[in-house]
Amino acid sequence: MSPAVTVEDLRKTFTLHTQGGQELSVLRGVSLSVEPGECVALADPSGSGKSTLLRCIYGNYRPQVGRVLVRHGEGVVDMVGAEPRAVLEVRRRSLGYVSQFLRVIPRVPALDVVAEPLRALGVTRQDAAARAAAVLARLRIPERLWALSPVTFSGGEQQRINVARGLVADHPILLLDEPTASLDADSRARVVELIVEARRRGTAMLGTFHDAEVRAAVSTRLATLHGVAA
Amino acid sequence: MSDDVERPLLRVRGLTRWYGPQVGCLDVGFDLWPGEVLGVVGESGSGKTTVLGCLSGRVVPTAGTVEFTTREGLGVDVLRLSEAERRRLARTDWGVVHQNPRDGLRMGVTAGANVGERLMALGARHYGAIREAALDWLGQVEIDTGRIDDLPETFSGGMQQRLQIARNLVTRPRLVFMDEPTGGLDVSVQARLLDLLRTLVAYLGLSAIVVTHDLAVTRLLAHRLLVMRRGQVVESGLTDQVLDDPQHPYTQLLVSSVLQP
Amino acid sequence: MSAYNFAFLDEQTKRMIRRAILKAVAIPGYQVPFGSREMPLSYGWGTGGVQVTASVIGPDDVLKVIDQGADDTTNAVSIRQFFVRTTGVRTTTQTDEASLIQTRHRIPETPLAADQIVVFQVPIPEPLRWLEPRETETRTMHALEEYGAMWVRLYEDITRHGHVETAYDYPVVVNGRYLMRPSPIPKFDNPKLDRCPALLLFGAGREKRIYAVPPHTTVRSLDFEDHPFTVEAWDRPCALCGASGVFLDEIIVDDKGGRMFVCSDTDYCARRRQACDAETP
Repeated sequence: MSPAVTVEDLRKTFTLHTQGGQELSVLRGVSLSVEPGECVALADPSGSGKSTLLRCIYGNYRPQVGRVLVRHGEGVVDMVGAEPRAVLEVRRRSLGYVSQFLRVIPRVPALDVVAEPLRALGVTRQDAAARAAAVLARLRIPERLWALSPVTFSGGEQQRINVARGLVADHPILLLDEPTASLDADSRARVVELIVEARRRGTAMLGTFHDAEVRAAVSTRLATLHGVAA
Repeated sequence: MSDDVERPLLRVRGLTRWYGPQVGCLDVGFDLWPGEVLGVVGESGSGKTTVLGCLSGRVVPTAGTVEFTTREGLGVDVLRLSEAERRRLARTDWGVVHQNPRDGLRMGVTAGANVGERLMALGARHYGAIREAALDWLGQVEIDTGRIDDLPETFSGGMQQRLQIARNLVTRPRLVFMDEPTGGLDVSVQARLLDLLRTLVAYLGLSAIVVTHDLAVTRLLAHRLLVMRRGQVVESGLTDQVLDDPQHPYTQLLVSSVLQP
Repeated sequence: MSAYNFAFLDEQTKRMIRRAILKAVAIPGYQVPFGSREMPLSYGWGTGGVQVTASVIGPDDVLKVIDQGADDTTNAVSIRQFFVRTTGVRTTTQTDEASLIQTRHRIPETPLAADQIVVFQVPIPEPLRWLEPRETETRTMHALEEYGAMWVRLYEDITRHGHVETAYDYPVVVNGRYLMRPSPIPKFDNPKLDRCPALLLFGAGREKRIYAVPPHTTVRSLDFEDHPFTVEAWDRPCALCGASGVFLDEIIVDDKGGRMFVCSDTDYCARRRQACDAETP
């Protein structure tokens, strides 16, 4: 069985035209792969480009060189240079992402924010709401907040909404960028539970986990951007 | 947006419009697929409004082709259509949402008549049914249905804009052109309108071309972006990619110039 | 009389107007522009109707002129006298005797026949003028059959009043194609237009348009399926001749609000009374 994600010789340099054309070479030939049921944790120190890699895989950043092969349905899509609608399709069905920042759309209630990935998959409003509610409950988001827009939530609450949204649709591949940032111990534990359950269901995961305990609990192996995979 | 659709809804190649020696837009090309929202961003003078005008038929381009796929799956050369065919297309399969709702509404007739007009133009002859359809659409754009017999003059700006949207969508167009749809509205009203547009686009499977200078609007509504400067497309791609990882110097400037509250 | 050409207009003008009439007949309901001439009556008093009549009248014609259904009002009398002086043709008040009828604001009650021509006086020929002041735009709307706005007007009436408010000059669709104003005849008369055996000509002098409804052409008054077109009805017959199912005028008879309802078509009423008198001993 081929890997769920294969990164081949990925190179990413940022050229800051607004700052005189200064160049930042962040990824200098990254190669790795992730199998279903694995949770690969990137062990590099902060600032080394872990988020950049995740964003390149997600199609949010555009690398200059390399390929990112993502298993999508029966086939494989190279996220580098793929048509926008192909990227959106892969994100819809196959590739989930838990980011560090919740981009809040005003007016949309938390429950709908979490339910949206399911609605995009054609799940009925009722079922999507039920499943979203289940995840929110597990993450101990009080029910009284479900009808409110996350605009007014605390950092920890917003992060839990982020996690819920990323996990609710049970994508076969999941990218996790500091999923437990700004969470207290209890919430961290719950997030870990959810991640481990997903992993046990065969989800292929790649992520960065600042907290050593969390990393130890969820990951099946470590890897580094420019070194040899552990 | 499924991959088993063979042809794009709109195929634009080499769209060019000169105003004497001044370039309006130069060599603009893209494909638009069913269910896709394309944002066209740029500052004043970028050519984004010219592009919209050329596509919607308001302006005759100097060069280029625009091919639209009809409901029957046939490719139609929009620029070579007769006036009658183009106007029919504009009334049925296309919608245009103007920046100023007064440009897209009949201010002197009731909200219900505004929404029902397209249906009547297409041969609807049952008053009760027309009224039912109008009530339905007013509900969909979150206008109190009790106001069906009120004149648009008595509506707020946001309501007028939503009425304009309903008036266009009543014939289930597949392609909607929007020119600064939230321009001139209060911020809270903008949010509500964008939310509505987002929902309708997804629910109805609409394709749309949204011209705006407001990057936040594009992030919310558009799947893809064209960044324009001085009549030319300087960058294009997936919306979040163009906004989060801008390649072109102008795009970087544009993105970094946006104030974050 | 010898100072004027037959029927006042010179022959070239008549030819131009006849060409316009032929075009109008060829495209039922379509407004044909024509070079309207200065006539010895003011705009708004029937210059269009007079020019059409003057272009089709011949020495053997028998002319009837009515205004609001009456042969004896000032305008009808003036126009009839004008044609007598410039053509010398025979005139009549009897509808079935006339070969040519010029009318303002009514169609006679007596059914029309195949060899008759009716000329209508039209103030505003354009049915969409209320909505669109630009001539260029209304012409385009007619060309592209974009009549949605007219339906909007009907919709608005029903919304505001529960029924269509228009009582005269009620818009119609001619031959299933062109939207037309039938001139300010009461909507009561609209059904008479439909598949009429006579030739119907419409002239607007100030607006410089001629249009026509050829014999046996369908003329449909606009309506909605659930608000069908209806005509006026009165709860009493004509006070003079006892006719019902005809258009009645309301006449105030004294200072105390006394009123009576009588036939608007004076010829029709007079002949009914004659027939009645002939019967009674």
